[in-house]
Amino acid sequence: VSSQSGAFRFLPWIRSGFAAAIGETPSGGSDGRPSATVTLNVRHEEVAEPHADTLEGVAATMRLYGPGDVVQVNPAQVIATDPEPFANEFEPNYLASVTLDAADLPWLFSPEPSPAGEAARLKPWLCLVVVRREAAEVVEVVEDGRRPLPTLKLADASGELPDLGESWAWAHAQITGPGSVGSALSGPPERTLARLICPRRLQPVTAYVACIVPVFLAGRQAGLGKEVTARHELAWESPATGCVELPIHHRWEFSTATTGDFEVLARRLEPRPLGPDVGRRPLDISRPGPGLPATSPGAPESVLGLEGALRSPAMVPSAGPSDDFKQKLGELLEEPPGEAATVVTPPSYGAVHAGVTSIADANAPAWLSELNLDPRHRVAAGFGVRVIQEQQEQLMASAWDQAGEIARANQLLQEGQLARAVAGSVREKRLLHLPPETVLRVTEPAHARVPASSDAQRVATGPQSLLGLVRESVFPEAAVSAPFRRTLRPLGSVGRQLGEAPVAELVTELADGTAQMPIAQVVAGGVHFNPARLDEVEGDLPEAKGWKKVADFEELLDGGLLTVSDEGELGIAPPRALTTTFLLPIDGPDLPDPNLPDDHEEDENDLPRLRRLLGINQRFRKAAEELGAYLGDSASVLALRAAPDQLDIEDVASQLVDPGGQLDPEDTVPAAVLPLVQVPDGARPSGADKLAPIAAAPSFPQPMYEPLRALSQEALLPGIENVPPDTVGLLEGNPRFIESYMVGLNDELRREFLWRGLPAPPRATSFRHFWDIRGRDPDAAEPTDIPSIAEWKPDRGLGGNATRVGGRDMLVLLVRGELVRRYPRATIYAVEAATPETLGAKELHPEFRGALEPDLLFVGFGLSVATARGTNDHPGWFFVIQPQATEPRFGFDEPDEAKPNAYGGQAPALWRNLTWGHFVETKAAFDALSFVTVESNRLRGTLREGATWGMNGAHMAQIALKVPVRVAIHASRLLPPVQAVPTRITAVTRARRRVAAVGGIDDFGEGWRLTADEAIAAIRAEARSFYVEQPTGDRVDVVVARRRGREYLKTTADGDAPNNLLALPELKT
Amino acid sequence: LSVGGFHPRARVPPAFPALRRVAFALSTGDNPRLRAEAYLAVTPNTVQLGARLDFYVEVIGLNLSGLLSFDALVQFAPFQFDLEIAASLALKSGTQTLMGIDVRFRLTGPAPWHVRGHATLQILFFKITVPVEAHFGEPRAVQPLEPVEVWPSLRDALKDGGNWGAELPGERSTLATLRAVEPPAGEILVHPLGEVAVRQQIVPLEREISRFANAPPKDYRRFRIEAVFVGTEKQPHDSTYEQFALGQFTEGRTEDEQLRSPSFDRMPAGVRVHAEAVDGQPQRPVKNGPERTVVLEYETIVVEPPGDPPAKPLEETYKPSESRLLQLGETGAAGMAELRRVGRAKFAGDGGVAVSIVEPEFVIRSRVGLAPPIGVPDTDGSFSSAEEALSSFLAENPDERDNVQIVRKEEALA
Repeated sequence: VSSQSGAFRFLPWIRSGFAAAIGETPSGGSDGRPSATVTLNVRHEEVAEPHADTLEGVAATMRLYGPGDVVQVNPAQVIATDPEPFANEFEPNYLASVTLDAADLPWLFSPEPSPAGEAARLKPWLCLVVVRREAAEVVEVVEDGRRPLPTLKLADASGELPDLGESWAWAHAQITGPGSVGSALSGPPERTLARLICPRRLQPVTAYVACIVPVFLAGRQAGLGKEVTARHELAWESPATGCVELPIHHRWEFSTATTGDFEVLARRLEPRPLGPDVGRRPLDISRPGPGLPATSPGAPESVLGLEGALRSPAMVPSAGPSDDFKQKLGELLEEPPGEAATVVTPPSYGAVHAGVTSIADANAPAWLSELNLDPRHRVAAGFGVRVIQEQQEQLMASAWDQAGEIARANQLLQEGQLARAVAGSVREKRLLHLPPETVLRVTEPAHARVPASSDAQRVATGPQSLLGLVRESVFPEAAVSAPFRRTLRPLGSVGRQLGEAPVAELVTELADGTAQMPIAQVVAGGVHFNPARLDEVEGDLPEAKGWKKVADFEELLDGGLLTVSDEGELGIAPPRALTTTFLLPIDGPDLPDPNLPDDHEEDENDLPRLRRLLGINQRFRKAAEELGAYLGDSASVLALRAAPDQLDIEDVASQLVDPGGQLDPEDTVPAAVLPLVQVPDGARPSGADKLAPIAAAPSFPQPMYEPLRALSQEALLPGIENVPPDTVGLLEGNPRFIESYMVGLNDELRREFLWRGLPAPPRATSFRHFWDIRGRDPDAAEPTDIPSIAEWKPDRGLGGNATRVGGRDMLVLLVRGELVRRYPRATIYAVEAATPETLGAKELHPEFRGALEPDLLFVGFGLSVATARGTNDHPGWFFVIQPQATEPRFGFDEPDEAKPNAYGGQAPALWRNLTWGHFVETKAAFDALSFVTVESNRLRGTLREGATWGMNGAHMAQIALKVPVRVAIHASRLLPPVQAVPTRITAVTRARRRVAAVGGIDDFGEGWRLTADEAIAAIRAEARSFYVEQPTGDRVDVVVARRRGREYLKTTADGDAPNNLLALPELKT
Repeated sequence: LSVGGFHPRARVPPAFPALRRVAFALSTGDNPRLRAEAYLAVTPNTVQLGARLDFYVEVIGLNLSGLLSFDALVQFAPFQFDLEIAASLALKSGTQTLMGIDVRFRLTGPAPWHVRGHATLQILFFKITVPVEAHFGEPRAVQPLEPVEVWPSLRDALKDGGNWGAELPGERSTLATLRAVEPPAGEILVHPLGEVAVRQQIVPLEREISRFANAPPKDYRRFRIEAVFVGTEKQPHDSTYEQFALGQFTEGRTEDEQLRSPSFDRMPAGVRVHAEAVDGQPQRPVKNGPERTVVLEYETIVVEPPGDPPAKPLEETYKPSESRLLQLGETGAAGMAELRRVGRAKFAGDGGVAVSIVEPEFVIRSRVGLAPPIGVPDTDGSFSSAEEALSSFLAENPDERDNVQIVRKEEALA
């Protein structure tokens, strides 16, 4: 927790978007709308001159929407009003104000330019006016397309409307939290807002109408459905006189009192215990429907107590339905054997999440049958189903939003699966059984894109592609080229003559260097292909690399040497057959014609040609070697390179096409597809198939008590009408109800996903939160939550899995009264007491909070009632009620007539001590004061605490800010007396004829066990009361007795010895 | 525009719904049956029309069926037409043809004209087919098309109000309802909150153009928006993108190149005006007046037990810390606003990352070493920009033609 004090930032205006991009002086168009020219500087390169480019501007004139273009402000933008609508005790020394959600809304459509400098006054396009109810007539909207807004009619406007020329002073934006204005605007929405204040001085005990109306005449004309002719004129001249008609964007009514501040309202609250009728209402099961046992209406067994999510601690749960009823219901839920496809059964809520098909399944968790066989819990789950059904469109829209492009992603993945299957089968049938030489040839297009992975083959100069490897090796790249492949393809003319074996042999020889083709690899630096001679030499031999080099035998450019063989023999001649080598200098144009083999006219695709070329190759190599030897060390032009590596064709081929090889579609297809599908962490399927379709589990962090409350407040808190006004009471959360409802929600949502084809995991728990946990301590332990339903402990009963939902480990405070109605967002928290009269420093904020209509507020604390009330050792806790921190109120103190200079006088040192009397010189003037003026005020220019009267809206907000009051009440005053929880003891542990421990089964069906000392402490703390029903069957209370200085447990019916307790069976551990 | 669909050989826009032919039944009942179908379609470059007439009569086990149809497609630029006529008449006993004649001809042209067709005559088990095929006229020499000017089209597109828009940030699009108003002629009406952006589909920006409207460009071959001014102030901007067909703007791509490249690619199409980027993220422009910081203070009143005199506020005010204020703000008016509980916001997710599809990214790598070649210009990851970078690299290093390639980014990492 930062030690820095929290602060507001008030701003006189904010603009964002294009309105902010416009400079300080937008040139107003003829119609009054601000306009700006956007110029694009386009650079273009000419076709003719590659590097000649020119710059040309393209201008477009933008016109911004002005106040005359607005039909209506979204009513939801009004997020708070001061006072609340229909408040009847507003303090008259305060100023009415309205809070808007968007921090830049008040200046959004203002036609005025953004101001510069310290004053920075910018008139908003909306303002708040407060008029006396008796002076105003509100005309509601009639069905008339031209008049969208209700209108405020003032027969005589004098004294009712503020001066619009000063409207800039009464609007401001408020930001809490750190960071720039821009980052705040795009940050959490609760940190920014805008506010309009009405500077009217209110009279006590008077009814008022407050309205948001346009500031500019264009807005007024548009709102009234008239033709917009105005430019920047204000909506009314000041002072306003005569009949004025204004469109209303938002309005509310209130009246003032003489007193009635926050403290008075807080003091009215009284602690009252809530009765057993709060938290339960009757549920008639006398006619339960087909197949279930009916009972006579009115009979005790025909009525169950339907509970809510909250209940009074005094409420005792009713007995459940009869065993017969449960058995019949269980049979009804089962699908009759053999008819599964045709019979629709009632839903088994949560069975899918629990991972079973039937609640009768041996693996079914305990909570499942408890939920599904008890009508009380089925009703709670049914509430969840109804919520989903009613909100299905919004839920599904959000679910699809959360899933993103999941449908396209899964299509892509499935296409990937198809590609993988097809490629896999091609590989299986065609590639795997090919000889390695052929593999090398047919995979040539991939060579440049496959890394040469074997370290043995890898040259030390970093990563290399297979193509690089081939090039480095003695193996001619041409031997895997498309033309070579085409020439030697098994059914081609050459291939047919040769058969596969010689081709394979040839390739193998090429790979291990016994047959060498590429001259370029023999002679470094000197051999180039001469395109001019290609036709001559090669005819239309394909232009792949190796062939070019073969054709290159005639020439060494670089002004180098020409080597020509005089041997015209065809066939693969052994190197020693080469006898003569000519070395001729190249000098000038009259090069001697190379001694070409004379049969180069014949079809070059045939075998002799191939053989001949190989022969030429060999001869050239030999010639080059001889040349090198002849030149000796002085030969720099023609240097022989070290013999290149051999190529291990089998190894390369197996690395390519073997399973797990580099061309294995099991790897290559996922490598191509998966990077295109961006999946949040955890949603990627964990199975073996990387291309398996994705299932996304949408999650909804919203508090789900809200839609239940919207369904029925009675469902949330039955017997709500039995809570008296101005009451502070204690409640308990009902984990069994909450769990049933949450199971119903998640189960129905699962069915909805299935129906709408959203790929979601069926056991996902999309709703985890029941209560609204906003505002909880950020460092608090675990949030209020239900765990993922699939992970609920199978041995726990219903209600045993939810944590921090307000069960007996928590303190749920219910506040009802005028305070809540006037301050619905008031904050309640606990502060540890230093002494019973003074506050300590430690604060504890509620773990959840919620509201009920019309004036109820409940908050859940992680405190026990006994701790809060305090003991002899600990002073306990205070509960503090304070107005909402981000909703400051504005106004000035009443002048204290007892003081000498109640009117007139110097401005006080602190603005918080400013009174209405400081605005006027005399009491007569004070009585006549109806508006706080800015420019003509006698305080104009007064500087206190950094704020100057009349500077701008931010300064005025700081000056008019009232210091709020928080009220602390000790828990022992605020909490009703503790009601002990009645607990039945069914077993004891004995030690030397004394009771050492007691135990039993609690409401959740769980066994409990307390040592005797713990049980005595619980009775003393009034947390529990114990009773037994054995051996007589009557209920007998357990009390604490004392004998010989030692406390022990006994029943009221016992004598000194605890006979009734000792008669109980032994407690199993 | 189409009534009853398109010519069977016409290329139909992909999203166009399949239309059924306009059909007229000219008789009632099944026997005799006379039925006509027709269609007419007009596209910017073609007129397509056709009709088909079927009839069928059945008398004492013998049936006579006939068909007459024609399909015509006329293309204006370059002028070309395709006419197909078919007629047949058959006398059958059940499904066994006793006598029949079937004539089909297709004429395409001009330059060259091409007639192809056949006539078949069948009597009982004898069948004679006469095929006809003829070419006449010289193939038209491929006329080099007149170069066209690109800039005027682009300039007009950049001025067109329809290509401009003020994009509203999603959650703020509903601040106020606006009247439907027509902007003054030649001006563009934008929302003051919007981020002004222009995007056009005439020609991709920042790419070399060697073809435009099926002709070589006459004036310029490359366009880039360098700067954006609002009024006289220069504003930061980033690019907006559109999908362009690669083949439409590049000349001379080999079939192999066309096969290897995606048919559409994301290319710059305009600009968006925004504020200075923070951490590489473009920001919305924001302006505001000077702020006043006011520390939040509470006076504290401790309520005394009943009967005691009303308490005075404590001397020291309570000042919640900044983090406490932010925590308290979560339950304030703006945090609890109804706005966050309607529409899509009602069940908005917790902001987790959704599944998304990204465009493949392409890079230039050496064919030998798989490393980026030295001196290759940066790209934005799209195929077209990789292609452009490659061609500018090859212009500088013509010898490298066989040593560089465009590969997917993931392959380069392997």
